[in-house]
Amino acid sequence: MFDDPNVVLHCEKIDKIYPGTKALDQVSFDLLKGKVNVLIGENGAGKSTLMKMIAGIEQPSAGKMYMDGEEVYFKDTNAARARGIGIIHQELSLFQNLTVYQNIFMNHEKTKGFFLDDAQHIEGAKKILKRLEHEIPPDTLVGDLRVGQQQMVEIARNLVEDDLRVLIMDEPTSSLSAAEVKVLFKIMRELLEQGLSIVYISHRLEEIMEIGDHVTILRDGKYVADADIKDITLEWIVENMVGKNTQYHRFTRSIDLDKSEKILEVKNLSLPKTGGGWLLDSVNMYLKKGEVLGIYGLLGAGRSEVFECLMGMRPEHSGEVIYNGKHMKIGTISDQLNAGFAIVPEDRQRQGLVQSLDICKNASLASLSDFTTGFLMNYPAEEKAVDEEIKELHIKVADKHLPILSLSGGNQQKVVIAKGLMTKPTVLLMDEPSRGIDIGAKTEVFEIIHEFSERGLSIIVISSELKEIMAIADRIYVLSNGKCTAELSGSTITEDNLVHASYAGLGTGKSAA
Amino acid sequence: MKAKIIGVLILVAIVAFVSNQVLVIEKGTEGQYTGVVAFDANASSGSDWQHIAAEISGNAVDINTLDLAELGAGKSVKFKATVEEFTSKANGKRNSITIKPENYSGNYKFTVQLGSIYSGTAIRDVQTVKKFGDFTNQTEWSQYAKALNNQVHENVVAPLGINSEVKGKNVNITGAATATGSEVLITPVEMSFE
Amino acid sequence: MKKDNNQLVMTLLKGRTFIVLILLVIFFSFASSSFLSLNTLTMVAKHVALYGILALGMTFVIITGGIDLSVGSVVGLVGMLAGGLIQEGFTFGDKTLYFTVPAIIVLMLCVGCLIGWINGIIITKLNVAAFITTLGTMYICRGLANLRSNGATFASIGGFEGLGNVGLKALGADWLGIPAGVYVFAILSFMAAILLNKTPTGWHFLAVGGNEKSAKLSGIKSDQVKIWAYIISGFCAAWIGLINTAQLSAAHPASGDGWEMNAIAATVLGGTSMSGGSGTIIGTIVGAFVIGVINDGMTMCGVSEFWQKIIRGAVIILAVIIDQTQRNLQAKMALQARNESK
Repeated sequence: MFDDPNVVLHCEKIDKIYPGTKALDQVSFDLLKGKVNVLIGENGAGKSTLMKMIAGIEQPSAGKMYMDGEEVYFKDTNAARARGIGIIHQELSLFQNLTVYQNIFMNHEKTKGFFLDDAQHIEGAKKILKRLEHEIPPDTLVGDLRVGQQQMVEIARNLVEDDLRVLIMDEPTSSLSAAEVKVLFKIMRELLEQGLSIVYISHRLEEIMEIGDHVTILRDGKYVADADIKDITLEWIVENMVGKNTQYHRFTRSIDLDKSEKILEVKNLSLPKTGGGWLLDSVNMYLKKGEVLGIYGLLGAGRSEVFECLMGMRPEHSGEVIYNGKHMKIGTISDQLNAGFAIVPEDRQRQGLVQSLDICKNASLASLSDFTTGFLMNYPAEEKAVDEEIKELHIKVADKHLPILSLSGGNQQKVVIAKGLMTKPTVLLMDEPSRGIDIGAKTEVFEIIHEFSERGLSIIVISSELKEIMAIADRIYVLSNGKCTAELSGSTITEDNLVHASYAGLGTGKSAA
Repeated sequence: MKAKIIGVLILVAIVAFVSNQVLVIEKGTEGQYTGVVAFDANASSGSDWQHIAAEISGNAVDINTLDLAELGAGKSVKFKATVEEFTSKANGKRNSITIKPENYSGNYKFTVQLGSIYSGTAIRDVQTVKKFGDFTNQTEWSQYAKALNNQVHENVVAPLGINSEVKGKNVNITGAATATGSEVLITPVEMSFE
Repeated sequence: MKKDNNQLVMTLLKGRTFIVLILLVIFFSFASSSFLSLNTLTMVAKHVALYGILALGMTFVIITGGIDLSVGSVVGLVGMLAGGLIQEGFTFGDKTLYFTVPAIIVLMLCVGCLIGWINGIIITKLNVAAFITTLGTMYICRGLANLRSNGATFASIGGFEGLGNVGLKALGADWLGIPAGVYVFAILSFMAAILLNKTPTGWHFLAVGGNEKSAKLSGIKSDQVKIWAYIISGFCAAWIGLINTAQLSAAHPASGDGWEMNAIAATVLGGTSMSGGSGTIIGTIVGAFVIGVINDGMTMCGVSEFWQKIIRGAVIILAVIIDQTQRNLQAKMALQARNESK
């Protein structure tokens, strides 16, 4: 039996196993009463997964949860809601096709007899929205609202019932403007005074320092540390978030990069954010031939957005791109592939692989047009090329016609890299190439990066792992809040410099406006 | 839980309602309730038979007074004849005699069918006791013809126990005659050997 | 100025189906002198009720993001079962059961609901696409309808006083000069509108169709909501099976063949989005009238059946194009309003 008056909910050694990955590994967590409990960690650290268990959206594979001194099990959201647990989702989960008041009262409908009491709905919605200082007309369609306003509706939905005890907020501020964030914090403090407990997930460190009471850090599905906010510093958080255990040996370069020419240069790259502000704010960077360039930054700093601009996925960007000494107009994705750019995307399962195709097809997918005779596929040529890549990247494949999901995560990632390499790129963009694979596979991926750069391939690597990026990159740009806050190379590449630069762009206000 | 109880209640209500709104009868006894007697061709022909036989006898004319070319679908006839041949086909189910009417000198060939399976609808077609309009549909009308043919066998042919011994005997015949080409087929309603 | 124009266009677009209906009525009353007569309008109403009731059920299914192709076959099957129960009763051992007409109606509605429930279970619990599931049940129901009588027709559905099963024909007769089907259509429309707009369940239909994941996160049992949509559709189809049999005074196994398409067309014309999440009962009713008026109007004007099909097809595609235009315009106006408020 677990009983502590200061703890609303206690999680005991929670495991969550998804096919192939362990999202949570023996995580214990105390949700403190009347406090803002902050959960932080990189993408995939398990924060959202843990919250889904608490809100009843998913169920733990192992482990127990306790409330009020007794064990609880939430088989669905209704069960969690009955215990007074509400959640504001990371992705907006509103009904765009319905009105504000319908959204607010969905599944909490007020009725007169059998029939809906819309007058009460509208009245109630008005009252809640007024409390949130967002007096949106309740009969507006949610689809017509700004994202920030929608976020407020999302919050309002959870305030409908008076019995709320725990409110989980999964990155509620990611789409709010500075003014809206202020209102949100005010509301959070009100709710705390009313005795509510809040779980707050955010990657905006300065917000955490402002609103948080107690912070818990997760990394790779494991508990790392927890402390009261008043006792800690930003550095402590960053250190624990990114970890300091693993050491990689630093690669030595045989190419003299000083003599190498610039192959790619980006000037004043800016990318507007829907709802105001900038995802990228006047970023300048260059890449030399044969160089491994690192881009470091915290989640949401604008790292992936750089790649998206270069690959033609963000036509709304502005700025100049000079490629091979000539001005380049960014076209469609296939134009960029033809121009010699290739990308290894961040989300392997969703963006990197086609699960229904076999290993061979996944590898050759981006370069199929190189293996044709007339209009028809030349399978022998395709298979020969795939075989070469498999050999070169040391992919452990029993039969290349097996389903792609039969491979381990590391080998899947190598197939994605093979796909990029098979287009014979000049510039290879790798977004978190070591995410979600074991340490051995990580080292192998780094060796591949090193080997190809030695052969003259220019590579940009995004990583949020300090040690990794320090090991592989010749030069590192640090992004923070859409701005480039540091360019480090050689001896200036130190943990301190990287960490400090990674939150140097926070709190200056421009991106939050 | 509440929804389940309501569901069960609705189901019970439906079952109760439907079982209250049903009439259970013995299979095949609909007639007692509807007043509509299902058509029975045999019963119908049985009660009609005496009238029909009498009518055909009454209307019958001597075959020598008829133009056989106009016999067509059927006429009532009577005559005396000599049996030329007895034929039995289909395991005795299609017996017949060929005969030569007295005083007849034409080219027509005369056959009397003796069942037990009879062809054609000659009896039905020459009688006027029942009309097509008395029946509900075509099916019943054709069943009626078959039933009349059964009456012929039962009342006329079967009691005589005809076999090949009748060859050369004289026979008095009343019946319905039809002609196809130069062949006359007679279905008897009265028959006696001398 | 431009904004006012947009708003005018919006208003016109929102009421477009109704405007089309009025234009059609005006057009046909000029094209055929007898169109505006009481007899013709009664006939049109009779046909509209047939498409309309099917379309009511279809509206719920399409709002939840599904489709129900089986309704036409359910019409045929229910007609044959009802005709058989009246003409031959239900023989069980050496007993034969003759149900009264009210009992037959209740039983047939249960059959419709059952088929809808089966559709719903296969779609939600076994994860088969709605299109495939209902295509399958469409064939199965049509086969069963033919099997009931070996393809023959039940011609005497009048019933007998003595068997206590007289009265089904009343569903095909006129009451106070108006076809019975129209009353059923009116009552079911009213109930459907109440269900969709005035009860929590109605919101759940819209929520599941609009964003199923969010609906689940809100604690709505989206599977159950979907199953109910198919049950409603089957229920409506059963009504049409009964009404159509009564109108024809006979049960044909081929009845209702292809009617699901009329129902889908009426629903889409009425502004229900095929991707789910939005739709109104009043829109569907107007859509059913448009389909009915086009069909009967063209027949009265002597347009050949072949051309009728072409015109019907064109009208449906046009309706969807206008629908898209409206959406785009709406999004544009919302954006405009947002910029102005800034």
